Amino acid sequence: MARSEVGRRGALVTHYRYRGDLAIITHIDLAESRILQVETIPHLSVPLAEEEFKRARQMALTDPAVRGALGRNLDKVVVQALVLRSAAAQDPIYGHRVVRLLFKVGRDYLSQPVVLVDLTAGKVSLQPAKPQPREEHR
Amino acid sequence: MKPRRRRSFATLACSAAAFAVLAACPGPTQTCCPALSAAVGNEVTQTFPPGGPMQTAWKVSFGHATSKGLFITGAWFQKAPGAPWMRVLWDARISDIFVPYHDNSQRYYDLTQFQFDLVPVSAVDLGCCGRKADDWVVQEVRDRGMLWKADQEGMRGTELVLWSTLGADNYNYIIQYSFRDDGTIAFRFGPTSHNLPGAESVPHMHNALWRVDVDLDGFPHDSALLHRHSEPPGSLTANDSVVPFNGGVEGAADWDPLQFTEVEVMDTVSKNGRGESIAYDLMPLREGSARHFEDFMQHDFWVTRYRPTELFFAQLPSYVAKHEPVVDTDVVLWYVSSAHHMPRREDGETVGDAWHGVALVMWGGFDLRPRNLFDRTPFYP
Repeated sequence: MARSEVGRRGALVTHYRYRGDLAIITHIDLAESRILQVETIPHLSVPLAEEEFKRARQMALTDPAVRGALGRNLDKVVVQALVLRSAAAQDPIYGHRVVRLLFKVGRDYLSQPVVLVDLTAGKVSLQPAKPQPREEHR
Repeated sequence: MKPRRRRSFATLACSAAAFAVLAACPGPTQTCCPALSAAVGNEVTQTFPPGGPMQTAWKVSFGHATSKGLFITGAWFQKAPGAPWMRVLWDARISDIFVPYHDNSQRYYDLTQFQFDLVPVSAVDLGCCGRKADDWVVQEVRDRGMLWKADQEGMRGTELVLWSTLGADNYNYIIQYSFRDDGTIAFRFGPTSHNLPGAESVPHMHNALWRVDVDLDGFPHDSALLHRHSEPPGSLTANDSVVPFNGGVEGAADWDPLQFTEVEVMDTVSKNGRGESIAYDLMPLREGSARHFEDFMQHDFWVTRYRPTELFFAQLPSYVAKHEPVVDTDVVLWYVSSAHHMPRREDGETVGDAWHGVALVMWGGFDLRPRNLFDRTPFYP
């Protein structure tokens, strides 16, 4: 498609389908109100929706193991989310929508617990701790 | 009490910096802050030298959005008073930030996987001389040290800098574009802030995946070329070659430290006053080359023909499979700059249940430097 020296406003609309871990990307020309292209791309990273984050947080904070691990911090934490992806097809979470939750108290983050919420499978799990720098650095 | 103590420290640091610059200024009445043009909407025009008779100028438009960070939506350079504005960039941005951890416990895409926004500009961001281009973007004109020296003669260089901070939960990324008096554009990416909770000591790579739509003097007639240097073993001579990128069609290339690999975009029609084709060189500033599992991480440079819907770095292998020509057309450069983060004690420590500390900024990026844009060196009277 040729272009002029004057920019045209466009929009990118992203849908995500859990079945098949599929991104549906729609390119829209706003000036002409028409769809330029629709792409369906499996296993492409797409943004975590607010609804997904709320669901993951709710699943985690009602999970007895997570509540126990947070202990006295339960009422103080600010919850944030990262999306976890696997590049290897043999990985159990490959193709799943998995959210890693972070717990912030004040301006610092709790090192534990490491909580994963698999939104595709509807499961919450706690990961074991990683060694700290004191053990690794020589 | 804590906020007040931090504010006092910031003021002290600012005063010290101002004093240091003032000491270098020729007269006691001269301000240490270069003259800064106000942003009009999302556009900034800056003449050089700031506050002096204009020699060169940049006009830059910028944008920012959720999941996109700070990006450039147009850049035009004026190489002499009265010269026409010449477009250099149509669009430039970090298309994604890919962060795989060495133990494969996490592989984050910090732009396309999240709805991360820019962090509002704070007083510490502005320092002594900065101003808000808007509530999320800092605009500065910085002294960048010596532009040239010839014994006791010399000239200091300056640059217009637009930068923002992307808030990515525990991490922050400084995204910075500098437009220099000599026509160079410096693209910088600086990861910083809290190491990943629960994996504070796990090494990882922060890969900035750049998409740079260079449109020299307009979008048509651009060609991508590859620069290579060679010094054959046992030879006392060296050679440099400039060849069409990937044989003249879409594809990829690797950075080789022994070859000083660069990619050039040359306009096949626009010439300088001596009849030479104007060009810009993409000059890597790197410590190494990341090679992760993913196909798009198998090369350092990629060149595609401009197609408006091709925006995703992870899709590059399919974009270049078309093998369309990248000679005398409209090209887009894609480039990987990587910051290898091996956690160290300076990043922080465990205090109680939490990690207390921040990783200091690690810079990466590249420069786009003009070649034969001027007829002669513009800053040597």
